[in-house]
Amino acid sequence: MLKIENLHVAVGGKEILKGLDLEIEAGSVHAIMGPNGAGKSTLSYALAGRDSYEVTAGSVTYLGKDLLELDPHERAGEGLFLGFQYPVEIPGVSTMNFLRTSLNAVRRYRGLEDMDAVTFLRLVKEKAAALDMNPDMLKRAVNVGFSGGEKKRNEMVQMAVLEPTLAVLDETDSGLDIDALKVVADGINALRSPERAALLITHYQRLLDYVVPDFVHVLFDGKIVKSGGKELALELEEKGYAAVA
Amino acid sequence: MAKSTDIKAYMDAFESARGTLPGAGQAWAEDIRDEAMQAFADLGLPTQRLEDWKYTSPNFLKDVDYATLSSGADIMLEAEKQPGLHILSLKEAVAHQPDRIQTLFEQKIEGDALFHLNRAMASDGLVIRVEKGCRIEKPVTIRHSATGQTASHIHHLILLEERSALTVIEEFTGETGTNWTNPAVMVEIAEGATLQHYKHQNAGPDAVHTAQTAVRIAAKGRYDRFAYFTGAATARDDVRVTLEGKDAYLSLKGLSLCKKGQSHDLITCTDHAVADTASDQAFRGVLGAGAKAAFQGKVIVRQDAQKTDANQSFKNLLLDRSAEVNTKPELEIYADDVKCAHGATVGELDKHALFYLKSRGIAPDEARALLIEAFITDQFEAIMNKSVRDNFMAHAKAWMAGRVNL
Ligand SMILES: Nc1ncnc2c1ncn2[C@@H]1O[C@H](COP(=O)(O)OP(=O)(O)OP(=O)(O)O)[C@@H](O)[C@H]1O
Ligand SMILES: [Mg+2]
Repeated sequence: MLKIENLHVAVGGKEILKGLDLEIEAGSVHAIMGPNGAGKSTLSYALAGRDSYEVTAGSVTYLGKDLLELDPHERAGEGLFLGFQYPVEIPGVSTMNFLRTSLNAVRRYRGLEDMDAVTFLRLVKEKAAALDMNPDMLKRAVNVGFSGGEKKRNEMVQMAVLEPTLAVLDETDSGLDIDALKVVADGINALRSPERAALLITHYQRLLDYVVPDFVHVLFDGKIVKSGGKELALELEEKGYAAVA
Repeated sequence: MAKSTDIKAYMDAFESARGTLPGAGQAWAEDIRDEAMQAFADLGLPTQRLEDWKYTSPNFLKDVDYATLSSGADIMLEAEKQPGLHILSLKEAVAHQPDRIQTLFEQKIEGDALFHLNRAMASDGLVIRVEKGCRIEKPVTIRHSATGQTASHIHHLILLEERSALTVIEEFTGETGTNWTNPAVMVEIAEGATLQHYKHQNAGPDAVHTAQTAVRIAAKGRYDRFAYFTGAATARDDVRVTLEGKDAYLSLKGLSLCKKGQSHDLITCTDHAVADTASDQAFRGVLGAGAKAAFQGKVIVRQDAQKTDANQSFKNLLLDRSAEVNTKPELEIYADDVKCAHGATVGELDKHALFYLKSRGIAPDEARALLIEAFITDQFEAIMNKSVRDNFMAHAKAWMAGRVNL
């Protein structure tokens, strides 16, 4: 589904990703772990197509398409979803309006009609409830005044509504309390299917107890330096990156 | 043309019009008009050397010979009869309630030549009074429309007696044509009274709009103003408020949507004259390519005005690098125990927010439109009257359509 080859990405003229290779098959869940500053978020932004993240070499193929040729909104249209490490606050745009605009934009990209208001409302309420999000929050401006955990939960509501083919979740588990972690994990598991895949970026083993990955990779200084099964995460937690990388 | 000639033309116009103006033949009214005309002549037409006129080019006064133009502004009043609400035309009020009007009419906005010209030439206007303790439910709407090449000097007086409440909506519209509207609104808010004052300046594309508003707020009084500026080639909104009694509160808000060929200048002067008063000011501008806007806010805290709480914020969104915006907060503080805060930002659309929206599948144009709308919606939150807020929002949406790529 996703094939990253020799990816080099520079930010502000500084090379952050230095020849990264990664392949994700449909139906699989991959986890990326790695020390602060290793380039994990950089990878997620490069995949989503953020402006200032300059791909200087390498290629990314997604569902047979050259992902790097697509604009960010087209990538979303093709089923890519990025759960932000730091979700952005948007004063003046209600979460509900944001979700509807977003869902309809993606539907239009796929040649579908806008979803009617009633069906949409029912869908959002159902997804929000499944993720234990207070429906009142949907009326509030996107992420404005949300707690750290609420922001992460909001990312998951967006994911649940958009039902992406490939979800890249950048530290979605950070800042969540134990109960919320469980709820979010259920949300991710609910999307698991043979046609979909997920890339979880995390610092903690705990999320991986709930969302068991097929593969774990260590990203260190801009490259994947080690890959393994789910037991690699335990090994990392025990020994630290220095010993493994 | 030399300045004296300009002034002379206005004086001649005044002489020929005075016999038809409200209060003609009444000595006190004639005196006030004479004094006002003299003050105008002494000050002369404004120039950009004046601090208050720094950002507005008064060239429009030279381009068209406004002195000789006839008045072309229509005033349409929309108000339901409600107990305690009294509305008279300026003419009727001058004839029937000379004492009351005299004191109000005597009020001056010092140093403002166009205000004096307005007082001298005032041909029409409304005198709105709300009786003690009467809280008027339905808003009073005043629609002004200007046509052709005209000059008009309209003078409204709004008087709220103790513990009364009123909502006034002023709307200015107009056709093409270099019409000049130079309105003045004088407001008196007695103890415990509340005025919500909304204004939509949506004058025609070649129009000039130079408005002055002077407000006095007594103890526990409250004045809430929102000025929405979208029209005219050159527009100014000059608002001066004095908080004269303990616990007086002022909320001054505004939004300017400004496009190519337009210049909007919103000027405020807030005078905290006594202790324990508060003011909250927030202005926003959305500027398209080639647009020009300025926000000048002066806050004075007098020596006795301890415990003053004054906030000022200016936020501007530039949709194109060729837009120009100036913000000038100014504080004059003579008391020592006060809380004054001000902030100003000028920026383009938030790149992080744009990317966030795009990453959710929203196309760049739609993402931009959503953020501009959000910036505007956020500012409209300050409007307490829902139907006003909805009307302004509907207008703003129409304004935005097609302007996203500018
Ligand atoms: N605009 C920039 N200019 C220069 N360096 C940058 C810029 N943005 C990010 N970096 C650097 O890129 C490196 C990788 O950052 P990135 O956010 O990808 O790390 P990360 O692996 O996600 O770390 P964390 O675990 O802390 O989230 C860091 O050293 C960071 O300081
Ligand atoms: Mg990161």
